[in-house]
Amino acid sequence: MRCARFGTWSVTAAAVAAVLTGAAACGGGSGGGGGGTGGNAALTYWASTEGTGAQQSQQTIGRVVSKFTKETGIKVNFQIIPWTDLETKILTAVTSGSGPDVVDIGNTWAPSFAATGGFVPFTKANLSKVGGAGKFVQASFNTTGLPGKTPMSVPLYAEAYALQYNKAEFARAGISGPPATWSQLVADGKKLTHGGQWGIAIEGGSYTEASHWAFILGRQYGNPLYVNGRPHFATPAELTAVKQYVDLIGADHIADPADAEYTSNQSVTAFAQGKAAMLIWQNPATSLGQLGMKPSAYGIAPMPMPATTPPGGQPVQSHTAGENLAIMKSTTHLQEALKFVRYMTSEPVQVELARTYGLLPVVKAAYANPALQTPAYQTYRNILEQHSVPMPRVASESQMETSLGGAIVNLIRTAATTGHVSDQQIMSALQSAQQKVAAAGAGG
Amino acid sequence: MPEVTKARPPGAPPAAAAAGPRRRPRGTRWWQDRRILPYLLIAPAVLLELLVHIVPMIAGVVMSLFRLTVFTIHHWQSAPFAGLSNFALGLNPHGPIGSALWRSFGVTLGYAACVVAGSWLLGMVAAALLNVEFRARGWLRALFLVPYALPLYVAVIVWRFMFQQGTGAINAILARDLHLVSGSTFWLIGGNAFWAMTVTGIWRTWPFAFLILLAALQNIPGELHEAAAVDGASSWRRFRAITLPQLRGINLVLVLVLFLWTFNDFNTPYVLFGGTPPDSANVLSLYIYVNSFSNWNFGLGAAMSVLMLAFLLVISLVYIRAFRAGREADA
Repeated sequence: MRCARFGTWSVTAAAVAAVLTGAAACGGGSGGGGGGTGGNAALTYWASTEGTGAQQSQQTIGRVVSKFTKETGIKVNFQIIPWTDLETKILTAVTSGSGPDVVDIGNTWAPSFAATGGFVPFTKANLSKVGGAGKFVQASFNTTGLPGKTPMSVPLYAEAYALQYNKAEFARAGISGPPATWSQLVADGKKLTHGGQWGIAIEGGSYTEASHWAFILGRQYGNPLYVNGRPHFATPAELTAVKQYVDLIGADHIADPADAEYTSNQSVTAFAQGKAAMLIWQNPATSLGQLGMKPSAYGIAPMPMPATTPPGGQPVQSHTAGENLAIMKSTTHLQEALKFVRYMTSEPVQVELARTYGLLPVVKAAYANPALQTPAYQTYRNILEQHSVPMPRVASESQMETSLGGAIVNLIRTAATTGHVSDQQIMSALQSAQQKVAAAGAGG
Repeated sequence: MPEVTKARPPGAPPAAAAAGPRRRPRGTRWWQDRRILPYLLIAPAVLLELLVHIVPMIAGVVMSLFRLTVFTIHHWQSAPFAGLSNFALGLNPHGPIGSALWRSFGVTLGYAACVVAGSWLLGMVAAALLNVEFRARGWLRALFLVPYALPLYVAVIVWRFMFQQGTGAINAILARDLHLVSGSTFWLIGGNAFWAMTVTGIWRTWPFAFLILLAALQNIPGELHEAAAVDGASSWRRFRAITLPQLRGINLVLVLVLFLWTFNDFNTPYVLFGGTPPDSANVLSLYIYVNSFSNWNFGLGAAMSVLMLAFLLVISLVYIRAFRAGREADA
């Protein structure tokens, strides 16, 4: 009989399939976020990857967090997020209005994130709940949001650029001490470049590194990257600054052209393996240790500067680097989140985190701890507090890094493939980057 | 004999009520009606298609009309209306963003053309060779499918390692052992980056072409070839006069599909080059990604995506029109 062609079973099967798929699609959405019902609050915390990597971060944060739970009874579910994903994940959380309670952010992102309005502002009341603004190192506290506005985050870790140099190679080449000026660095680099060894290793393929160098050297040569909130890249001073960086591979030939392809910290590996005698990097101590290079094998000195101060030049030897803690506006556990922030920025926790990750603490009290009294820490502290300036605190900072950093990476690639970059090429790259940032109009 | 009224089965309409031919056999439910049931059966698929494909696409088109940047993303419901200004910014060949978009479009066209041509040629040759029975045929067929079966990211990351200048396998073989190129050749930066990306694209795509063409070849009746061989046609003549015409329908669809996939390809360039590709390999999908997620200008990124969608739609429509016209001419 034909009547059973579309039988009951096929229709039931289709209906069940639809319901199951629908349930699966909807069920995954409630994830992270403060789903607690008041009573037993559980915080969700997205932590960045620090130190030697995800495994060490997992263990360190786990230790620190379990002590917090023991002290306060507040449970914290944390995840270690790789740097490649962190900014996008936070942006997604801001857009969707649901996400974790507390996040780590790179402090250069603070102005852009502040402009979104998706984070709890650290008003005087909130600041006093985490211990007050005065407990933080001022340099780091300057990186917590848009200038002159309420901070959207508080500092958590601090880092600074410094020159690491291979003591044995320097001795072998007859160089008495680390270079203090760029011309000395180039001269030393030439002496150190022979055989399979190069004078310096740079992370040529990384646009974030390129943008940092453009900023720091720009300040040294008298060009702030932003003037009145507008991008200001295409100037002779910035050309000199960028030329200094690009010519390490280009005209000076003291960096391996292969560095132009480095994007995953291969320059640190090259330094640790003795393939390069110098490395300008942020706090590489734990990474170098993991790669087998003992702290006694290398010396630490501030980044070089121009021999004579150019007009408008400043003695800047690093940007004020580090990570901050921010609380998402979508949180339903604000008081618990503030307690957690207070805990993470307390002196004993800061000392433990700093020592484990090889980073600098952000609270003044931590420096009194004898464990942080080493010459290395003193050098870094001095650079951070006396010779560092925050990256431009504008909402288009992220765009600047991509456009300007990307343009400089392309110049490095030209230097690596052709051996030479002309002033004309550098200036036109700077102009095009400046136009891009101005045109995409994050408009101040 | 008295009439016994049979009890009607539940749900069956009165015998006299149906005006036309019966659409629902006796003893069935309302949802088994031939008019309704097909739609019910495809409803879950249509719903999912809407949710997963159509609604996000419409959302993208709507996004492109608004000024969605870092300032407005949190309260996107109240983002200012931008009209067509995102499109103007993206298309203006004299502005920095527009000129980069046009250049990127050219690179993508070149990439798609090279990969489709290369994949089709390799696939055709391999399918023609494997169309005859020989002992190792099964093994070779499985081997040829490996690139298509490998997880994409794993495969492209391995290619990325191989293309490294100092430590990669490509330079080790070509430069150090065979002395065909200099040891300092860069494959992932500069002009060579386009070819590195194309080689990786062809490597990934040709097994699919091979698979489709092999199946099509096996559907060609053997008698045609035998008859031609009896008439004295060489194998090349037979290929041109019998095989290619027989494959025409399949080829047209295959080339269109390969073109669309390659034009849209994001994974290969992203894994090879990351977020700052060299200019010679800056394909459209990567350029849009950088504008959306690195520059936080989602309205602009959405506008560029809409432009890409429009272009691919136009290409597909024109192509299918030409195909249909060609078919009618054949018939």
